[in-house]
Amino acid sequence: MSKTFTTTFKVLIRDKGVLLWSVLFPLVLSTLFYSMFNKLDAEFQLDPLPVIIVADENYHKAQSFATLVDGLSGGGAAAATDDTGGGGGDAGALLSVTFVDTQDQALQLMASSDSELYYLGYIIVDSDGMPRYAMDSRLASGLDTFTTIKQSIVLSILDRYIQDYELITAIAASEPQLFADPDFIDTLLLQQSYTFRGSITANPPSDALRYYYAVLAFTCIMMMNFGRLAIDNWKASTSPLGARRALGSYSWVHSLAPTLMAAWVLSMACATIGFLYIRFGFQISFGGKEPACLAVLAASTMVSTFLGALLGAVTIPGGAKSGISAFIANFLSLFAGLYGPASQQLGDFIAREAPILAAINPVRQVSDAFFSLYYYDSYQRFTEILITLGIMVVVFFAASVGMMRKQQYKSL
Amino acid sequence: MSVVEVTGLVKRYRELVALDNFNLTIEQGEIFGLLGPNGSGKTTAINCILQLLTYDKGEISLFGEPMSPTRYDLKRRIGIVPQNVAVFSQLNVTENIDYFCSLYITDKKTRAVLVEEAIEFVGLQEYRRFRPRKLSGGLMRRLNIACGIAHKPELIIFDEPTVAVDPQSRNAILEGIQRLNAEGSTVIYTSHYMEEVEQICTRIMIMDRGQALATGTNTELKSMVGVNERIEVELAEADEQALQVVRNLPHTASAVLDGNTLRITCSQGSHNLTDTLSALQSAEVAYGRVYSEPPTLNDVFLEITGKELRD
Repeated sequence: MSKTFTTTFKVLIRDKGVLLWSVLFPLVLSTLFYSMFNKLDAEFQLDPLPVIIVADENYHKAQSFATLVDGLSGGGAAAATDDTGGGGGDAGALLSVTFVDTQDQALQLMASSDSELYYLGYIIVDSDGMPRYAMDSRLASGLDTFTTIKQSIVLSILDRYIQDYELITAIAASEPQLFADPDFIDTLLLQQSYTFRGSITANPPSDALRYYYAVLAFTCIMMMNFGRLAIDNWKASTSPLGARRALGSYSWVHSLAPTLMAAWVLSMACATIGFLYIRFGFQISFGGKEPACLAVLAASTMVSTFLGALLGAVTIPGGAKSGISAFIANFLSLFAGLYGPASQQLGDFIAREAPILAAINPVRQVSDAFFSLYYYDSYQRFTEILITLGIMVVVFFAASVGMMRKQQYKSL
Repeated sequence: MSVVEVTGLVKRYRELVALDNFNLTIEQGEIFGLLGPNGSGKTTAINCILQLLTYDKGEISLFGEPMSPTRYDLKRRIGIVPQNVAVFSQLNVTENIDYFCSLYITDKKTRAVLVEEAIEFVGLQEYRRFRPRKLSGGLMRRLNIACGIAHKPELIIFDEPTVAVDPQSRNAILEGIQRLNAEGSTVIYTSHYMEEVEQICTRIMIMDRGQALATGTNTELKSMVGVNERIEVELAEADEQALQVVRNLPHTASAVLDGNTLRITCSQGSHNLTDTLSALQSAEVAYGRVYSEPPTLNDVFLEITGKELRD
């Protein structure tokens, strides 16, 4: 039995065609996703907005504004003369402030800014203590979506400050006695928040994850090639090689068990490589539940091994089987959202309207398993999916073994 | 003891009768030739004997015991060299032979010795690490043979092992089969090349349409039919008298004059050529070249079925 196991393992791992589609193709696909989504994610991420503030006499007089700036920049504002070139501050800072002494210096710095550190504009405090924002004229034409958002944020901050400032100044002018009341002062200074920010999922949502989980699920099911090839070489009715092996002096169970075992072990190993590549190569999160992910890989590769064995046991030309397995994996991946928003919407629609179809789609199930691990605190959904995959294993195993236990054929 | 005993075997593929009440007995130590044109039922008979194919009727015994798909003890004593080269393209020569030997021999050390012997037997010593795709057609056939004989089977079945093989490799294969037989293996050799069968087989069965048409030694088969030697004599000039002289000879079955060439088919008998030439000399007929061709299995097949073996 061990000889059959090692031989099958060698044969499968040396088959370049199968390795290409089962291992290399998913790795390349996930790398492509990474190159696409990494840039996309960076653009969606709001980094501290680089602005210049003219720290002249007026600015220093407007203490309340200076305090606001200090708060928004996380106390990390830098002078233009710093080696860092500005942009300091802590991770939670909204603004990345660079101070200059004069308006001319601000204009000069803005003109010299480049794509790496692009100042949106500069803020100067007028003689009335009001901050004024001057946008870079180059931004006036052709603002992209993200720059517009950033501009809006800066303007919103300044508007809010000016409104508060004028409100307090007006109250002070009309009813100065109110400022003698400590409760009024407290109410005035209270930063009331009327909305609660929370998360209903264990980890923050990410659109890109869906692609990675789908590609990993696709990889697992694509491993059916190993089962297919192993049985193609094993069954007497599918190849001369199989016919020769069928004449061995050991029972078909002794021969079949190590053959399928080798196919599964190799599938699991290859799927694990794909998983590690995505998890640690691209730092894609699986909710910190890596051991559970391995359980998903084990179950899904078992499904694909028996699905492949079933395909391998059917008497059709080997080349056609390769095409059929590629079609099955790609077709099922369509409903797991591998091919973009349209396929994701289609997959979600089917999951809502015909959940049984989603349930019998192993690619969808594997993808959902990773989702459940990432988003849910509970393992309930994950367990349900594992049970579903287990049922698929039993069904495919029974069907494939049913076809393979036959030792005599009407024709070869 | 009969190594193979097949009685009344019938195998149908829907309407087509592939084996029609087929009987076969092969004794220990024989090189038994199954000769017949493509589609005559040779490979089907072999696959039924090996229990790969189901059959509609009949009994099959190997080594005196009834054969079934689960008679692994009997399978252990059989080696098969299939018509199509059936080896793993991903494994090298040694790995392939070792794997197929492992289907019968579990002990690793014993297997290592057997694999080495098989490699030497087929002359693949220089190609141990070669994968099949790097071997020539002849070497590939030798690997195919090595995979079938490494476990030292008592009965070896060669199913058309020389198809698409160069003459040099063909001779090496035929010599190898004779050596295996000399070492004690009983051999079944199927082919549609009558020369090969004539060369190595101790007994021959001629098959067609799933039936055994004739069985016997080479000589026995040829003696079954009326035709014998064919003689061609190139005359100095077309001579009707010469034709008449030849036709009057007792061993002449038929004679025709084709231009200057006199074509004679002889009936059973010996000294046909010398008798013919003596008669021509006596009649003072001048002649040049003379060709004599002994009867072949094709003549036997032609006589029995009315068609050529390689139709």
